[in-house]
Amino acid sequence: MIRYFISSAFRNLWEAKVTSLFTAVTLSVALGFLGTYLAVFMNMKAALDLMSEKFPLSVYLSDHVSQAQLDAVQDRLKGSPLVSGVTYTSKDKALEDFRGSRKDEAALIDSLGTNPLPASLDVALRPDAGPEAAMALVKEVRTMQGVDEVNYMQEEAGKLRSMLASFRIAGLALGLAVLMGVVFISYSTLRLAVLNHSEEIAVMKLMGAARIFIMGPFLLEGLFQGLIAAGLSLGVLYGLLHYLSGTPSVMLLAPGGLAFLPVWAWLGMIASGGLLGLTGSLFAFVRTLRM
Amino acid sequence: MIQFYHVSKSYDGRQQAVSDISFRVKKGEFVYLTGPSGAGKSTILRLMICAETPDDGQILIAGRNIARLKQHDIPKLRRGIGVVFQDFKLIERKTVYENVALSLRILGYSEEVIRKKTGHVLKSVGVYSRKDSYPLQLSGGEQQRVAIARALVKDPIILVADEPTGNLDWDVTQDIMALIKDIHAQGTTVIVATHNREIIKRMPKRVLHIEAGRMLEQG
Ligand SMILES: Nc1ncnc2c1ncn2[C@@H]1O[C@H](COP(=O)(O)OP(=O)(O)OP(=O)(O)O)[C@@H](O)[C@H]1O
Ligand SMILES: [Mg+2]
Repeated sequence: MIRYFISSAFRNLWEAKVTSLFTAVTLSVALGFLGTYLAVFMNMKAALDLMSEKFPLSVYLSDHVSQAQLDAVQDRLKGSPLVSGVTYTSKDKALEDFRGSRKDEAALIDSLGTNPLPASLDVALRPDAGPEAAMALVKEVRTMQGVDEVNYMQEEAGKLRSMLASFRIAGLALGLAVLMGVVFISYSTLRLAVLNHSEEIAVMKLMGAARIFIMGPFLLEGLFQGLIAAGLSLGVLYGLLHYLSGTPSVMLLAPGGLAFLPVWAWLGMIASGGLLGLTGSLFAFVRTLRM
Repeated sequence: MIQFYHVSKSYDGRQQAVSDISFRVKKGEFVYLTGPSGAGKSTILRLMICAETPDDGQILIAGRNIARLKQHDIPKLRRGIGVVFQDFKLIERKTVYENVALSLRILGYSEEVIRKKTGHVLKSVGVYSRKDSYPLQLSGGEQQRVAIARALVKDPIILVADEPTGNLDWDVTQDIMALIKDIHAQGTTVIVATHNREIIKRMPKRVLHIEAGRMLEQG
């Protein structure tokens, strides 16, 4: 009976090739939005985590900083219970480092004639330093003499993080919309399929077919459509991420390449694609049979 | 097996298609339902399989009042009845083989049994060579034989045949009637609606004759 259901479902899909394909594509676009969203969200989060971990706090000194001012800043930082270490990088050292790491751009710097890089203090924070306390320290250091700029990644990250939070709410709305969209699309297609087969359904009823026997192939059809659509959208998404990972701008932001969705996410997408397709066809069936 | 008590039925409130019909068919009996066109034969058969509900009266099938059947009991009742519809009601999208096999699929038979029984019944009605054709590729007589095969294949408790030989020549008619006789011999209760007097003459059985929706004789 299962075999009959499956072969009937495939035959139904095949009989309405164009509609099936159209539905699968529409469904996959809808699911694709969700997948893209997830991928962007996760990659952004990963980039943020990386950013705030790698470059915790840098104090850039003005070119005219006096030794006394430098000592004052260093003392203040070292005296803070939040700080585990302070490393001083002079202007010359910064230039040297730069030459070492970016050979091709070094010529550009040399052509300037002067050294544009500032001296800096790289501050390592204790892992248990809270962001609020750290922010207070940052604010204080910023006002000190000889300090040009304080770069606290957590601060930038914090802004991005709150953006990410609203992004998450948008994602929830998007998810809900996609959910309803997918159910509606598969509902409409399956309704068409059920109406298309209404004569046959009537005959089967007269022959004593149980409800589940009549419904089986249609439910499977919806399920398959959802699964196919989810697979399709994941395939396209994967291709897209792979392609983007190779582009220069992305390579700069995420040197390791963009991450594809984790296993749970893509399994979840396939499962929800199938489940939503199934739900759509169930609605279609209940609606149509009642008429 | 089948009892009608003062059954009346009218379609959309017009003149009654059958009125005040009472009869009884015993288990294992073979009866003909005769009468002119429009007399109400098909209506009576449709009432038997719950395809129509009576306006008045009671219908008992296998000891159960069909008015009291629950929603899921109707399919169960129908599964035990083999029906040859006057208009065949073959499924156009399915092959001859699949149309007949469907009858067994509904009953939950295994694929192996389905293959064996379906092949056998298609041979016995003489359309085995057309098993992979679609109904619309068949002649009227061939379609009718497929419809008969579909009803016979499941060894029903009751066989309800509405003009099962209407499109067949006399030779094939005799073959088909022989098959119906066979299944009757195995204990199936048979009701055949027909206006072919020749059949009744050659294979005399009890005749229920109706005219204009009323039962005239119960031979
Ligand atoms: N679906 C329907 N809607 C309205 N009227 C119908 C319907 N089916 C049958 N009738 C009417 O009911 C009456 C009985 O019809 P029925 O089909 O039972 O006759 P019959 O004896 O089977 O005729 P035939 O020998 O031509 O098949 C006829 O007057 C017919 O016009
Ligand atoms: Mg009739």
